[in-house]
Amino acid sequence: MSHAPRRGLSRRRLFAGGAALLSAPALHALSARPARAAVGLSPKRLIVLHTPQGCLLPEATPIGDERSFTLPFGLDPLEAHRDRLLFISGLDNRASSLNTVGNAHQQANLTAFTGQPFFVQDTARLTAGGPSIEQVVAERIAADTPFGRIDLAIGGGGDSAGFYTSDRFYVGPSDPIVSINDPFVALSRIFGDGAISPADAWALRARRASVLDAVSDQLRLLRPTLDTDAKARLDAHADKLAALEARVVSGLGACERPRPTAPSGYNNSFDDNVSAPLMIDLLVSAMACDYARVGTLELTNGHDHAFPWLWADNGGPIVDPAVWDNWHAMVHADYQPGMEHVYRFYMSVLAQLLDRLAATTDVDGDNMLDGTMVLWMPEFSSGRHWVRNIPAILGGHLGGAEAGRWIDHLPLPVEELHDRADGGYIDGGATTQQLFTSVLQAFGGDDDHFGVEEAAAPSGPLPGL
Amino acid sequence: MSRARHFRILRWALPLALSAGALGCAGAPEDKPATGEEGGADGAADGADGGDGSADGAEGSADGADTAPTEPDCTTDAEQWSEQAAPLLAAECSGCHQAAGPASASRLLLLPLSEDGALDANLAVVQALVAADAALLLRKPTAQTAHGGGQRFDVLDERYAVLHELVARIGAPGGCAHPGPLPLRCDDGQRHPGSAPLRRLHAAQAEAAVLDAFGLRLPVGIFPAHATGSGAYRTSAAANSMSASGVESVQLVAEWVSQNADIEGLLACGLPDEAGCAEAAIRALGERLYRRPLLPAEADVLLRFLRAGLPPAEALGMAIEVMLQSPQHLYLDARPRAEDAAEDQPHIDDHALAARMAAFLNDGPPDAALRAAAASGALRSRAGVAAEAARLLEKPEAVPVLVRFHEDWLHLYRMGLTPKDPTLYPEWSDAFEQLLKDEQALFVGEVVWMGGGRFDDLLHEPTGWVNDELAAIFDLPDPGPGWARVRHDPDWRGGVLTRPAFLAAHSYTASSSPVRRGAWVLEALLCQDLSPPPGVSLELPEPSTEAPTIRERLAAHTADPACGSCHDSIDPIGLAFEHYGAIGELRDQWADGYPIDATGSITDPAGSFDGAAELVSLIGGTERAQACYARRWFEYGVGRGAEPEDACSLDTLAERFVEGGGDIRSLLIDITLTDAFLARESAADPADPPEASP
Repeated sequence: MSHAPRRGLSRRRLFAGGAALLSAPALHALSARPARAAVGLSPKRLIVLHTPQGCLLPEATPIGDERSFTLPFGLDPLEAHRDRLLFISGLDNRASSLNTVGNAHQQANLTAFTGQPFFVQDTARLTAGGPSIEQVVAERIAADTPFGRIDLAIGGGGDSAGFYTSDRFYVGPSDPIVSINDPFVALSRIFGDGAISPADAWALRARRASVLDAVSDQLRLLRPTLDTDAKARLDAHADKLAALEARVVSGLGACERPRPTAPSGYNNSFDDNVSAPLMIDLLVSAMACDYARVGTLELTNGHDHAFPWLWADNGGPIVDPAVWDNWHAMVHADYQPGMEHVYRFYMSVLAQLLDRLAATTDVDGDNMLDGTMVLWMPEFSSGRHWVRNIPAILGGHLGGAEAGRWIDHLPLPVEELHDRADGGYIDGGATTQQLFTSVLQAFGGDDDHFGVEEAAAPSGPLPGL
Repeated sequence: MSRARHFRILRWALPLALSAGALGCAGAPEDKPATGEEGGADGAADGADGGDGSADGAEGSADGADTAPTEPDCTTDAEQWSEQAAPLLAAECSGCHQAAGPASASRLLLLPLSEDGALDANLAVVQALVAADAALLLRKPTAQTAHGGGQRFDVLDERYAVLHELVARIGAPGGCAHPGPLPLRCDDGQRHPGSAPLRRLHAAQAEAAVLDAFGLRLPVGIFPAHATGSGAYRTSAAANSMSASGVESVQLVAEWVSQNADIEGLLACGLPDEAGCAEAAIRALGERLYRRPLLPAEADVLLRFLRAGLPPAEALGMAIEVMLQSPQHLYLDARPRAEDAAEDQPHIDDHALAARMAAFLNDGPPDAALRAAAASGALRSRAGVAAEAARLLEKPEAVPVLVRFHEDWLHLYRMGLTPKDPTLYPEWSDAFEQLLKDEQALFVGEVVWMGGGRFDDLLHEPTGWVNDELAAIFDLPDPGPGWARVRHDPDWRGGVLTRPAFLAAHSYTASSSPVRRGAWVLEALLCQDLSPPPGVSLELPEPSTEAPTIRERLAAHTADPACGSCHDSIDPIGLAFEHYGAIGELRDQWADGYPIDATGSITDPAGSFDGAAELVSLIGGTERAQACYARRWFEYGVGRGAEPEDACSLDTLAERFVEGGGDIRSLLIDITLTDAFLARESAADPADPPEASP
């Protein structure tokens, strides 16, 4: 990442003389952001939605052909949006298979959005080989926003303070994204303390800017003495300090603060059905104010979860404990009755996100969905650890691609593929890396590949887009 | 310990005629490639191209073998292959790596040496493997890379040296001896510190620093937590990356401290003006939080607000916020090199060492005595380090360290990922989960550490604590209010592995998990790498009339050889714990009414057992388990996974741990004396840490 200063004003000027001398107009001038064109050739924003444990391939695949298709039960929550969507089938995550260590989950998770094998093939030091796709986009389009990117997790596995360390999204090797998995923590982290007066807020920003400037100076004293590895760790830290300082200096700008409410007894680690709309609301609200131009929503509950809010639809528990040790065990065993409700729930989360975007106007006065590229992709094409023929859905601003289509790169009819024991090893017609290349191109990049380059693999953008 | 590496002469040499076509000694030294590295690349590439079985790299030297005079001191490539390496591969690898073996699909497919042409054919296979990945032949058998056959030997073993020489000779053929760098040796007079990643303080350490410097208890959870997902230790550098939200969390921590610190008290220090007090406080707090004397440039940064004329109270508060967010505070070993320091100091400086010791043994900053020891040079002798380590272990702050290590080692974080089914376990809640951790903490701290303090106690001691909520799990009467010290039946409840916390963590929501329990024992207690091969399903077939119980379902699973290579070891171990349900409750029937069968046998260590107590006795008594426990503590202490370069240290630790009867205190002291703990990477000076001069 670049260490270039993000703004014109010298940090020294902020602390010189102290907070008391800093005038409000000076800070206000810092808050101004460059005017941008209205919705144009490229999307203004990217949101990646990720759901775990793959999918049920026949329930994630349209029925018909490119322009004339129906949606299966698993995709029907998206019916209202189908004219804004591109359904994609048959993407291979080839990077997963380039790993020689780690289990199938680690191999898929850490490569799903990075398109690269592990940084080193060493089980004691497993980490992603590079930045994930949305980080690359964020570095290009979001550096002048307060947060750059906002990362929210729906589900458990986090710490007691509401933070979840992702193993899908990475700033770079050994630098995983830490998402917020508690909507109320997310509220205060993104929108601040609602009680503070404007004058106090200015004083606090001035003080913080001066303090962070001094912290960066301490960091610079340390850096020359460190070895390469330690320097890389310290630089990753320095980048985040610089981003925090830039946000403190520029301020957040006015924005309506969401008012999330949750039913009593709400448990953010397990009640995904409650968390999803809250998190979507927070993310879309923040992006509407241009707090960030890249967002991730990661559902994290893929192992020992009961999904009780789906029991009524299913006529009973999804995971029968007399048969299955847990959800993870169930999805490993091909299709089992009830599974479709969980994967369909994931599509309803995508539909909620699309609904919320479509109902929101951004700071430029544009419809949010018109200016936002939405990408959904699981890590597998089946709970059986398949990293071939993964489906994806693009929505909103597609970078010029025609919406309302199904781009099918499956090598076999979906039912046949799904029923084959070796289905996870049959190459699809395109790769996840090609999809990511197309995403970069949609955002105006001249990229001709993303991630690791393999002579044997198809390259360039996604065919048929 | 009896170590295979102590024997010098290899006994595998078979009376096979030297195959003329295999490898020969080119004899004359001038035939050798100019440099080992270039030769390595060329030779390896040649090996890959020569897919017909007689690799190019060997061809040129084959003629030489017939004609070159055999020098008495020359071991030719052919001799090294046929007399040492080939028989070694036959003995160690071809059991699995053969056409009919479980590793038949691997790239190392060997013929029995009794077959015609096997020597040549096997060489070609090995050359191709080395050409594809030069390190694989060394990393697989030493389990540095996942290996279905587990660890065959370690990097100090003579067998490793043979393979190391083989790989080097394939890369640079034609010599009379091992070309290039030799494998690690412990008696070479060099230090072997391995890597020293920049380690961020974990939450308990940061909390202790704030308590030490300000007398304040940070609200729990506001300092960024370590990542638990991979099961890494909280001390591990890998689990403590600095995220964007983490940087902001630290900012909020720093502001909380500056708002709650006794600024008025610090400014009323007795000096005539508040600015003087502020400067004194900034310097003193800086030294405390950076865990060493400040460099002038660092002090300048901390004092800039004061010097810019801000009111002393505000300048002090801002300086405190800077200190608490500085990498000098947040990372261990973060020390700018003083202008007069040597270019490459052979071991870390006194204050950095003191900081490492206090962080490891007390999860806190150095206390006054340790700071004095560092300042006086007392830590420059091993005796001085050992004495201070022993003192730190007597402090009450050592007890939580023990508790945290075992919480991480036992992967208790998994309890939070597998909340129990409320219909089967209505008592389960976050508070109940904490209760199980508390029970475990009382056992580790109060029973083991304050008691015998030995590895045996950890695995077998039946004393424990219960309260009214846990009594039912233990089949004990309600002890009334508070915790009561009890003695459990040692056949059912001895040591950490038959306690509810471990058993609940390694279960599913509604049932026990023999696989998770067995896998934990192999990986954490026996240090066996279990990374499954790609494409292998990790889950069980569903219950059927043919396989109604967990035991039969596992058997069906392991009938597949790809699964069996690991599950043959995992399952019998895990099934020994079947008398304990999903929250560790005792039971004698499976949920479906079948009586529980917890019998089994394993081959390494060899023995049979009925139930967990017998299994733990069988495994816990082995040198392997004790060496593994020492290794896990070492990794916790140095904040990274063990590396090949640590082999000498790990050997010494294990040997002393076993000889000392598994004394945990002595082990922790020994860890502070390892190269990784004392030294920086790439030490220029091979000498031992200098003894303190009088």
